[in-house]
Amino acid sequence: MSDATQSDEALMQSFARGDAAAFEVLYGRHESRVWRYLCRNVRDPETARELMQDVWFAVARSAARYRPTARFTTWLYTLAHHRMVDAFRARRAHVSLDQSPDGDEDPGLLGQLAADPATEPAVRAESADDGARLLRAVACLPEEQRTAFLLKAEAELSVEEIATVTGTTFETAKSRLRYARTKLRELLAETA
Amino acid sequence: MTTGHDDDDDLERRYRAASEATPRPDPALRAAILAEAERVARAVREGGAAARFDTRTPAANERRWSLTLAGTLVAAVIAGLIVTPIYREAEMRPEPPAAPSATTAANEPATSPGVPGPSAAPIESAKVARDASAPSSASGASRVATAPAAALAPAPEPPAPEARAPEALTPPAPALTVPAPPAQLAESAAPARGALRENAAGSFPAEQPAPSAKAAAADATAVTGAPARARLAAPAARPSPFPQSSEPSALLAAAAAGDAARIERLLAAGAAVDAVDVDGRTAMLVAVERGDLASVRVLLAHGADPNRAAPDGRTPLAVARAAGRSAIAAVLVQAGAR
Repeated sequence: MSDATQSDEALMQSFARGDAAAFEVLYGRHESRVWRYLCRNVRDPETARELMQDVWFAVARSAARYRPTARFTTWLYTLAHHRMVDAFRARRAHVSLDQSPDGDEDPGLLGQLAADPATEPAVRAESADDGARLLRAVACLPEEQRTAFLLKAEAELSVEEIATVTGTTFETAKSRLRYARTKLRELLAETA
Repeated sequence: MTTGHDDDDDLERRYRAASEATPRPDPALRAAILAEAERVARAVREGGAAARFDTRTPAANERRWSLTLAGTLVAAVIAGLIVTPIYREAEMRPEPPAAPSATTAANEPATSPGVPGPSAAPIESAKVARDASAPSSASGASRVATAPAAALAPAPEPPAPEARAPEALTPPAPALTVPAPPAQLAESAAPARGALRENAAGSFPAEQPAPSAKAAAADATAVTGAPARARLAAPAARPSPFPQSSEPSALLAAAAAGDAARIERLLAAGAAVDAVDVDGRTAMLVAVERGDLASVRVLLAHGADPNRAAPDGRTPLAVARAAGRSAIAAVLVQAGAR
């Protein structure tokens, strides 16, 4: 029988043997973080919902072929990242740009995001709050930098794991993370 | 004293604290996911469930993708080995002389007397030669033949020295117009390199003005659907006044996307830092227009010219100031921008 003390990998193997409770523990353990990772990246709640379902359906359906060669978290976010990239591609086919052409330093962009109905209610309600400014700054990051930062801050992956999830080299992942942090600090300084 | 690592940790801690408030997904979504998991688990328990799994795609932690990647690379290499000799042959093979005759009218050198379009380039010549081999008689069709020619020969007068290269390989011949069906002529205009193999120098009908290189290239692209080949000829027709990079579009695309990390990688790989896009804008100008301070810094660190203006005269500093981007303007001034 599965319990909360088991590792992710052990839970996944239990589920692969037909233990549905193991999946429930696994899902409960990662639900919020995966959800937030998707929401912050796609910014559209409906798309995030579809992706969330796709990702966890894929986890369930791939369980029989899952091999614990790496951390379950790395595999989970690789699935999430791939589905998110597919969603970005599909969206770009319809919408050329979903942000201000004036770029990230546009002083009005943070305000636009605050007024964006896709932005979370909690963030809008606390627009003056430092945490809310940080979340909006994250939304302003270029796509690849935002992904790297979220994989670090939200999923708590290492740089090596970020490189694996995003299909890049260690150095590239490290650079993206560094630029993301630098840009976040700049954005926060500008809106302080 | 705090270190950069401490600052990073603090930033992530603050993010996590702020992010905690995000509502969880709605219960219906959770129920749907758990129901699917229950269905899969039940299928496993009941046995023979493996067939009910989605086996069309391998699990993400499996390594089958590496076999696919290896196969793709092998196919690409084989395709390259097949295609490359065709182009190399086109460039290297000496041109055999052709007998002057009605059907080899295109063998006439570009500078033959009586030919008003002396800049007929080798590619155009080859095109005409190819067309000449096709059954044709309508003199009106020769008008069409001149359009693609101009894409390769931008300067009708005086004769461009480089346009005379085929003379060394082909004997002079009387000037003859080469009638051909328009469709054939247009078709033959695009494969410029391939046409070189046809080994012939062409002539322009006297009454035909040579259109601009750009227009002709556009025509060739539109008619033949072969823009890549048309572009092969374009630099020879009108060399760009701006420095060209081996990967200008990639650098400019990275600047347009605000991806400073990619810009750094491309520059480290040797991309020309001051390469321009079709509008004559450098990556620096694009980054300034976007307000992308990080990219501006990367470009400056790699020696980008902070004073290189767009064709309309706008300098990066002017753009930054006009947009009220004081931080970027300060960085540019520090780098010597005027």
